Amino acid sequence: MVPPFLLQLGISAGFIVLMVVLAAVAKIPRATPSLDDAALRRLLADDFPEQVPEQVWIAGDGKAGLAAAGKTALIAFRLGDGYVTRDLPWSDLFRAHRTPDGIQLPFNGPGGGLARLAWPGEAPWPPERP
Amino acid sequence: MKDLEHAPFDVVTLAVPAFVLLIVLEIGLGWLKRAPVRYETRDTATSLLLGLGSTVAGVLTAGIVGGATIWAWHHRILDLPVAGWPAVGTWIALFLLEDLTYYVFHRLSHERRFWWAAHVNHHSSQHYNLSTALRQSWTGGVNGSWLLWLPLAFLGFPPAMIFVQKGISLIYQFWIHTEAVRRLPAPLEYVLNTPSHHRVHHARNPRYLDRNYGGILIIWDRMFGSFEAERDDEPCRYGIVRNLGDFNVLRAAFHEWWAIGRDLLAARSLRQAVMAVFGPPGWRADGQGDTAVALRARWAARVGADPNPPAA
Repeated sequence: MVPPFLLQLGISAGFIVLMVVLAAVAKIPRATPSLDDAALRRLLADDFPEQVPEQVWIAGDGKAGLAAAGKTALIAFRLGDGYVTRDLPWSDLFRAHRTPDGIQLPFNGPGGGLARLAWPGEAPWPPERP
Repeated sequence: MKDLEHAPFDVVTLAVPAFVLLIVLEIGLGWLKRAPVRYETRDTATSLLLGLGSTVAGVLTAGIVGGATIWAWHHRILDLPVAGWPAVGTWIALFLLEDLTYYVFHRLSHERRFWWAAHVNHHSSQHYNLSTALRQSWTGGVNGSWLLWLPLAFLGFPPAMIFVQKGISLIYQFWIHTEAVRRLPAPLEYVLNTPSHHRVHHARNPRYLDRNYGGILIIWDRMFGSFEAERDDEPCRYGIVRNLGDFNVLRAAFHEWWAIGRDLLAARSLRQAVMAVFGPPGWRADGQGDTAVALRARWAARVGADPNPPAA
């Protein structure tokens, strides 16, 4: 005999699977266009309105971007059908890893996240600033 | 007597099939392009798993919450009518007082970090749909916020009535988590918490931060200066000030507790430690924190707006 609570939990789990599958099949995420300079600046202006990017770089696949604002690096990277932003000291960009696809920069704090930037192998990282 | 201590059924459990049907309907409306509904698969999974986890967490603390409420009722100061026509008055009084209690709880859950840590997971989705409504707290039972409802029992409202009314409030708040409903007729928008008002509550635009705490009624926000109307010229951007970097359920449930622990370890005085736990979310010792008040003030200074306009 299954305890009622476990039965209820099991049924709930079944409905969760059903709803997630429905959401996947329906294919109704937000439209998420690739980033360009203007889109990245808009995104960063929303999240870091006091920072003024002097220069921005867009990852090769348009799914991430980097901006320099004084000694601060501002990063936006895609998550699902949205973007997540982070700010960090420019010098922290040196802790990123090179991968065959580009650059990976993990964020180990409570908010977490992993910025993946499609970045040409021959291009310097961090990018050179004027 | 026992009938008044324990509700004969859990109204929220009874409503679960309706929750499922409405989510299916909302997804259908989005798929048919009949409403501006957006679902992201992993975000939906996270929301629903947080809902499932919260029911388990609720069971673990239900004994303490229920026992304390019954104890408080045994020490009540009034014997309120609970049968026949006079009970209607008791129900109306409970409806109003429970909704006011919810307002206080909800405001506390946004303005003080110890309670925000339990509530933040409800706000951590960048989406706003019916699955977001089920993104419930795992730690709401352990931070003592349920103590806020004990005065109702001390006053004389039977525990069964209180739990039924709390369930009704939770069920009401489910359907307002949608973009499919634009606005209700003006008189309803004036009195009730509606999809439009609650979209504002879930938005992270500085103008909308920490606004519209109401449960069923929005009148408390209008009375206590926390009301903000949704504007057509400023679409809601959903989520939290610094959005989470992945869809990890455990991160969504516990990240603010982790952040509190980190800040406690970094505290250099008793005051800093107290503020790390009980200060407003975003507080920093150097005064440069991104609290809701600071974010709204800086935004208002940039655009020349009033950070606290009079309630409409």
